[in-house]
Amino acid sequence: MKRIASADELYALQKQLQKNRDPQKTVITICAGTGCRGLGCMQVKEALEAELKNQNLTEKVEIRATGCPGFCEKGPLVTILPQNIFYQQIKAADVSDIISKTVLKGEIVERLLYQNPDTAQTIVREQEVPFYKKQMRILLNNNELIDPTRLEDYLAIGGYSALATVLCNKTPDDVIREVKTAGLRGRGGGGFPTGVKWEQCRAAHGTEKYLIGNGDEGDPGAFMDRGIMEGNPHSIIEGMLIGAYAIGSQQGYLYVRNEYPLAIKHLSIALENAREAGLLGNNILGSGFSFDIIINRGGGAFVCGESSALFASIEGRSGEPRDKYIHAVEKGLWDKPTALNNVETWANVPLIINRGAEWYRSIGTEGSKGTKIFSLVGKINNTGLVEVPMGMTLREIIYDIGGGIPRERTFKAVQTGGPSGGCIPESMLDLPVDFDALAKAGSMMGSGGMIVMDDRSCMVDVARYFINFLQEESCGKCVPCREGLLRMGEIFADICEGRGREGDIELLLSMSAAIIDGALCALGSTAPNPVLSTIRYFRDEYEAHIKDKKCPAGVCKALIQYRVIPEKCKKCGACKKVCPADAITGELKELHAINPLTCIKCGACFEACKFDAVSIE
Amino acid sequence: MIRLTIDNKEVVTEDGATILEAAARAGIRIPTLCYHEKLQPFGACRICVVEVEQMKGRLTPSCSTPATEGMVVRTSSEQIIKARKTVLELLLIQHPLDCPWCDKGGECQLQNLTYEYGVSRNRFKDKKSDHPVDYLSPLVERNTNRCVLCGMCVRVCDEVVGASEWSMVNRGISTKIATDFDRPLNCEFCGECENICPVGALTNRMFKFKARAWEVENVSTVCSFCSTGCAIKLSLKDGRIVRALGEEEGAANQGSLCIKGRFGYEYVMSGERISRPLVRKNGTLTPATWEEALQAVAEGLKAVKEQAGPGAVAGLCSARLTNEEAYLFQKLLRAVIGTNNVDNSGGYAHRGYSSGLSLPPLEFKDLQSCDRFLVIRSNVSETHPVVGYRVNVAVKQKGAQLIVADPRRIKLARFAQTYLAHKPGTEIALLNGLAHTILTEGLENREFVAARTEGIEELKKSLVQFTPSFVEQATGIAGKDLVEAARRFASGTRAAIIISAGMGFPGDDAALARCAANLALITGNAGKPGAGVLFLGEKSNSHGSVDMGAVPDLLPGPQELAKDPVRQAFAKAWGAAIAAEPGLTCEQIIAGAEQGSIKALYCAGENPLQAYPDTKKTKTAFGKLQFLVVQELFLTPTAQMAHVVLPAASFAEKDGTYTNAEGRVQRLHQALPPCGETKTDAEIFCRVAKALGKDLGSWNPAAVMAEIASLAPRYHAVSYATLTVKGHLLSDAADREAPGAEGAARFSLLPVDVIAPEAPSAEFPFTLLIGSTLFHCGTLSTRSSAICSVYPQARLEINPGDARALDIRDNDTVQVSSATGALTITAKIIARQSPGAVFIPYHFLSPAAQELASAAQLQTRVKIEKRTETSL
Repeated sequence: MKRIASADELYALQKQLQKNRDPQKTVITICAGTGCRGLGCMQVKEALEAELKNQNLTEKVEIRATGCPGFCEKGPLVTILPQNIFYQQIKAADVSDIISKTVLKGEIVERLLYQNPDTAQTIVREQEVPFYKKQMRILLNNNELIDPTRLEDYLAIGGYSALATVLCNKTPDDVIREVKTAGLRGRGGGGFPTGVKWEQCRAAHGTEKYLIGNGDEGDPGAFMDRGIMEGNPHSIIEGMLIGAYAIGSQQGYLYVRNEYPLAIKHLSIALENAREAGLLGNNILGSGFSFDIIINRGGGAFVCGESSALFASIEGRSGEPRDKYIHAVEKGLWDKPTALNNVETWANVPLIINRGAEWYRSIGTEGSKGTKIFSLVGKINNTGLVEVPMGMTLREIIYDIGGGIPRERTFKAVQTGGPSGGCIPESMLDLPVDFDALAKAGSMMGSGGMIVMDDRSCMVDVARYFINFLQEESCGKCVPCREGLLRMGEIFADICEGRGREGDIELLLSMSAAIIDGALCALGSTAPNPVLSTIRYFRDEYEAHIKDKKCPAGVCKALIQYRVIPEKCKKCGACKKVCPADAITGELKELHAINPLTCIKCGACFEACKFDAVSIE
Repeated sequence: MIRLTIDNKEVVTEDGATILEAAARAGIRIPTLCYHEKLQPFGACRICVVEVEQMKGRLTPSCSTPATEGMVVRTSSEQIIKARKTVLELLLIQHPLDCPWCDKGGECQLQNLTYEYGVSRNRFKDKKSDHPVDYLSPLVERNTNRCVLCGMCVRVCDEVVGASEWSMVNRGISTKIATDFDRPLNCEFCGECENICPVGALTNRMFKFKARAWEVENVSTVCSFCSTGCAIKLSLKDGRIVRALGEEEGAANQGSLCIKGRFGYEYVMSGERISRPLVRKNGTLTPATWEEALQAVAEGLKAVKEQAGPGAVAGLCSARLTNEEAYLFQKLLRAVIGTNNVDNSGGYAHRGYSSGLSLPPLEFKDLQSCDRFLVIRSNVSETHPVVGYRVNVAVKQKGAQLIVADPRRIKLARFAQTYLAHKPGTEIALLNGLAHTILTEGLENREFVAARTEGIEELKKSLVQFTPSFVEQATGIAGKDLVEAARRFASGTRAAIIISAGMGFPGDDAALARCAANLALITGNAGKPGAGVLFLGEKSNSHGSVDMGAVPDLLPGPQELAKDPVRQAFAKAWGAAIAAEPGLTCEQIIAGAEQGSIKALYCAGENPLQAYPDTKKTKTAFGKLQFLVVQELFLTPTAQMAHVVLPAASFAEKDGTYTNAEGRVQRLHQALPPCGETKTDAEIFCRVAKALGKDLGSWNPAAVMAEIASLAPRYHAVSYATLTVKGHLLSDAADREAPGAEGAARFSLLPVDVIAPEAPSAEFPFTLLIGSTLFHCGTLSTRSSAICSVYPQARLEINPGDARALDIRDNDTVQVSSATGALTITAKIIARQSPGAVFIPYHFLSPAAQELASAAQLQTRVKIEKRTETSL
């Protein structure tokens, strides 16, 4: 792309690109995010291309590979514009129907539509799908409008207008005031007011300042940042440019985990295109302001999402946190003032500039403004990315958007905030989701992971999982985290394997307090949260494990036994067929029984039995 | 200043101090495991946590949290004690608790804290770690089972020593201290890591199973090797030294040591020590009584003096004699024999500071506040490692900028912003080139030059020829690099120029010192702490030997012999006339011996046949002496030629003082009784004088120092009664804040001649650099087996390209020959050696590098041939 020399040139170009987009032209958008790729969307895309070529439609119909719109459960997702027909779970075999019927004849292929599980009715328009209906998608909606590898697409939807506005009409102080007024808080989990951070960084001594976009998303089950980095990389870059202008920084870094190759690819392409267009580099839009961004790939360490460990990693040292006796805004990367924000935070910035702080603060609750993207996973019908205004209740998210718990099981808890967060029980489902309410409940917003658990989830096992995860991810620098988490993991192993002792809960509580008090960084000091919250809300489950040597949820193998209920057994042999250990006796038409000595407690019989004749005790 | 409250006590501390430091200043102890004042805060052990009222909610690590105004701190509470106990409990799960046979037992921080906090029970199951112990590394044993991962070894090795040998490998619970791929140590072997280790993870192998920490008696004294003058403690058990420790209170070293100081003391207890006097009878040295030996010395000296006059007698002393002994030695020669023929260090190695440098010495601690360093003709990390640590700290921790000029890519070059690999022997041209550039670019400190110096115009005139292009031709340093270095140097506010002296270097130190002083002065680097020229003498008392007048033209002070009132004062005090004529220098003494004008020579601790250039010539000259007396620890090549050998006590066997390179007078304390029949040099000098019928006074070091103090104004305030472990910084050094007090500091403006190094001839194409290695100092260290276990023999360091051209591989035997001699030596191919030059350390008896050198020439040219099997 030609270098854009001024704001006026940018506006002209945006107009031109908008004009070039024929609103009547048929566009097939297909989600090409990592989730849908896993479900085979690239084969669908290839099939679409081949079919269009066959039918000589390449000129008339455009295929747009977009980022993730969020509804991963039903991927691969395809939308036909301008009619806005929403197809889901598309396979390559469906392509000919899509082209021949929908594209050419305007007919709707019924079987590809989403069916409302409650009403059994099919739904044509995306926005009418319950999953989307209650969402407020101010960030994610753009994912569907653009091909993330094309700067033109971003410009065509008004991209970089916020940057132009800022460079032409606002002083750095104006920008900071705007962001402060908007009430934007850090989306990485800490929830620190972004504008305040920028203000401190701007006021910090020195002319060399750094800006970092933290894309080292590592919470198990969380992929919000990936959705933005893959689907709309320019929004992050634009946000960082505005931040850089506000703070007075010349150099930014994007720290992206290496396990996100597609995000890295899309960000790299975006940076290159922006640089070529003069939106990065020297004298951006002729304003005299200069800024550039380098991508740093993370090496797979969870702790490198922690700011000081992240700095160390960028500096080429091993990713270990250091005591933050001096704030990063004064002494961060290379000991220079540094503003580190999560990529989602950065992506919010252009919205605030474009639509105003007042508009932004009208969304959300008293203390938490705007929207938040959550990745809804676990025992939930509609797995995917959801973007909701702050303050929506957990119940609305889980039931209205998430579609509730599958297989008619009952909801037990939702884990929010990743390994640093906690588990929230059923009784608190009407909790509004914002920074402060979640913290009060013993969990945290975190970066937006939301793992739903049903009655078949053992809360002791969940806590054990997170402790083991963090123990493996502990850098090993400070004693409480290095040694303490290991020992907590051992206590959990004892509890879950039937060696629990009276006093183990108290020991876990005491260790938790010691780690919270003593650990060097947030990884350690928040690590006990899953333990504390599960003990707080599910103490009876711990006690069952320790005292009765039972796992009520039937998860901890050492504590359970599979048994055939003779009254219910229909002697069909289904269980015997799937048993990998040959532990089930009884030929066809004979009563089955499970030999506890050879049973490996895999649960295959339980899943296979259609008559609920296998019980877990 | 910051005011805060710690444990209800008002504390005032300076800005930037941590809570821990503030508490320490107020006498409040906070326990630590991973903190050391020499290192950057780490915050890993969490033992030092405290409660800060303003930071409620969590405990705060005091080691890394800065004290702020109005802070209210509690260093002990139920919660804090619980947190500390939990940490200890956690550490003790894996710790093997093998305290009964651990060498750190009794001085182990983990042991002490466990005791202090009464951690007698553990809520967790024992899970002892079982890593193999590293027994393969020399001098340091590594048992990671005992490690608490405080990281201090890693950090001291990186932040202070600059070797970065250790690092933390793996992650989380698998973290351990290791080298790359867990190989045995191959480093500087300073032992700083084992010394700083708070537990028994790294231990001193020499100390292994020698003693429990509480059994030893520690004697404070001063290291006997280089002129850093590290304060050390010798641990004694059963009349033997079992280890050496850095004295934390030591002002020169703050507890740090190098390999020599920590592991080099063994020579003291060597079985090769001479324990009885020897007198040559029928051509062989035969054991004799002291009476016989002293009689023989008196007769030998008297005979020469009577036959040929006092001018035919000369004395050479070692720069390792104490101040008192050096003083007595020159007094013996001047007042008893009647000659000024006394010198030390080859007569040339001391000239940088005895006659070249007009600026007062720098204090080592101030180096850490410098923002610029120029290190030239100084592999300071090897010649004076602990001074090198200071440079590391300034550069690595505090961001000072470093310019290194050396033909070899020395260790400091790794950290340098500018590295200038000049041709060997062209340091003067380089310094003048820097001065020229600074003056022509107007980068000099005009205010300082105008107010505090004289002769700027003459200096400018004399520097005219040192244009970048001229310097480029002379030194091989590209003009633009020279200009960049000059700008870098001149842009600092506090710059130190560091130069090492030594018997391996060419004898142009005086001129080098003058040029360095010029450069320091034009940039205003004088009269403030850390700014100026640091000229580092080679040996423990190199500077004291000059101060004590063990040179031909200076009397104790040092004061100029040429000045009548000075001479008269000494003549009066000593009751003997002192010749106005300066004595002969080393070179002249050796030449005199060869020509027959010097007939008797007294070598006190000096070993010219191994340490001086041109061994063959020296040997011939000594062979012609009518009488040679050698006072020594060992039967050195020089002693083997002697007519009488007098056995002397080592540094550990005597009291006395050394004066180090920063002008600090420090006290030696006797740790061991003299070996065999040996006597201190002081006593021997007095007995020799007595045998000659004169009284030198008491040999009691305190009394001798009192005499020195009465005659040498610089030493007026030095008294044994007041000398502490921190020593006494001589007054000119202490007064450096205001050198202008007696008028402006003088520019030394001797016009500088360019000495063009000879072009390599076809016959001798290589330049030979002779010098010190990190592991040795002088020739004494070759008698210490621990040091020799790491560096047993001299090797020829040669650049890979040169080696390839000569078809030399690593460990090949090569023949090196110069115009004066030849030797065979093992080759070591090493990239840091610059092409066209080779390096041989001079410490060893064989191969002895000095056989190739010539005192008359600044450069030694050699040829190198590979020795094939048949030629062997």
